[in-house]
Amino acid sequence: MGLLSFLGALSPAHISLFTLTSGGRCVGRDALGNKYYRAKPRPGYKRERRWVMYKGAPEASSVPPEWHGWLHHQSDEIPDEDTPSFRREWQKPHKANMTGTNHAYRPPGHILKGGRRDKATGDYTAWSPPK
Amino acid sequence: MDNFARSFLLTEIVKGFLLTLKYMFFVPKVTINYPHEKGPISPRFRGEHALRRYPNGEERCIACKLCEAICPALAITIEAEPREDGSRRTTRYDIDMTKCIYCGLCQEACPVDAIVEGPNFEFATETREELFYNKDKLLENGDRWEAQIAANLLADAPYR
Repeated sequence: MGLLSFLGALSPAHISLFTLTSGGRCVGRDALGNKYYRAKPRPGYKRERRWVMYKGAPEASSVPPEWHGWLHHQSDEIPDEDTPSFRREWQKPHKANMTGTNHAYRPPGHILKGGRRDKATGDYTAWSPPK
Repeated sequence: MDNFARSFLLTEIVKGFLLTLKYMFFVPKVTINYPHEKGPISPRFRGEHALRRYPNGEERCIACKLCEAICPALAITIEAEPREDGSRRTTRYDIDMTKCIYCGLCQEACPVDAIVEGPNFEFATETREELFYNKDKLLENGDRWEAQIAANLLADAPYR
C-alpha cells in the first residue's frame, strides 16, 4: 500500500514535468478544479495534444461532459462561458465513477439497498425446465 | 548451406532488433499519458447508456419496447404502465451492462432518441452488481451527460 501511494504522488509530478517541457498552455479550468492544457502536435501527428491536470488524485472519470468532449477531440471548442452549451437547468453536476466507495450505485434488489426488488407487473412468466 | 550460413550470421535477430530500433527512435510515438491525456473518440462513440429528457425536463422514453425487441444480447427489460396523467411510461427499464455488447442497435431503434450510448466509457466497477442498471441510474446518466450527448448527436446528424 505504501508503494501504491508513492506511485499516486509520482503521477502528477510526471505530468507536471511533461507540461513544463512540452510547452503546454493552460486553456481553462472546470467546476471541479481540473486544469486543461494544450500544446503543439507531436512530430508525425496533425492533432494537437490535449491533457488535464487533475485536482487531487488522478481520477480519469472526473472530467465533466463538455471538457470530456474537448479532451477526446470530439469538438475543438473550448467549453468556457461564451461557447454555446446544451446544458439545461435540470442537468445535474458531474460525478466521478464512485465504484469502491459507499456512494457507488447499487440496484434496488441489492442487500445494501434493503434487498427489496421492484415488483414485476406479471407479463413475464418464469421459465420452467421441460420434463 | 543457406540455413547454415544464416545461423552463423544471425540475420533474423539483427532484422528483428532493427525493427525494434526503428519503432524506438524513428517512428512517431503512439503512447499517451492516459489518465491525463486521452485518445480521440468519435461523436458516434458507443459508451455507457443514458436515458435522455426533453429540454423541458420530461423523460423521452415512451415504452415502445423497440430497444428491448432489437437487443441482440437480450440485455434490456422494460415494463410499462400508463402514468397518472395518462401518458405511457416505463415503470421498469433495466439494462444488464454485463450482457450488453455495445452494438448501438437500441439507440438506432429508438424513435424518440431516448436511449443513447453516451461518450462515457470510464464506468468500470469493482463488483458485478453495480452493472445492473435500472431506470433511475440511466436517467441520472442522462442528467449528468446531456450536454455532451446532445452535442454529439448534433455533430453526427448530417451523416444520418
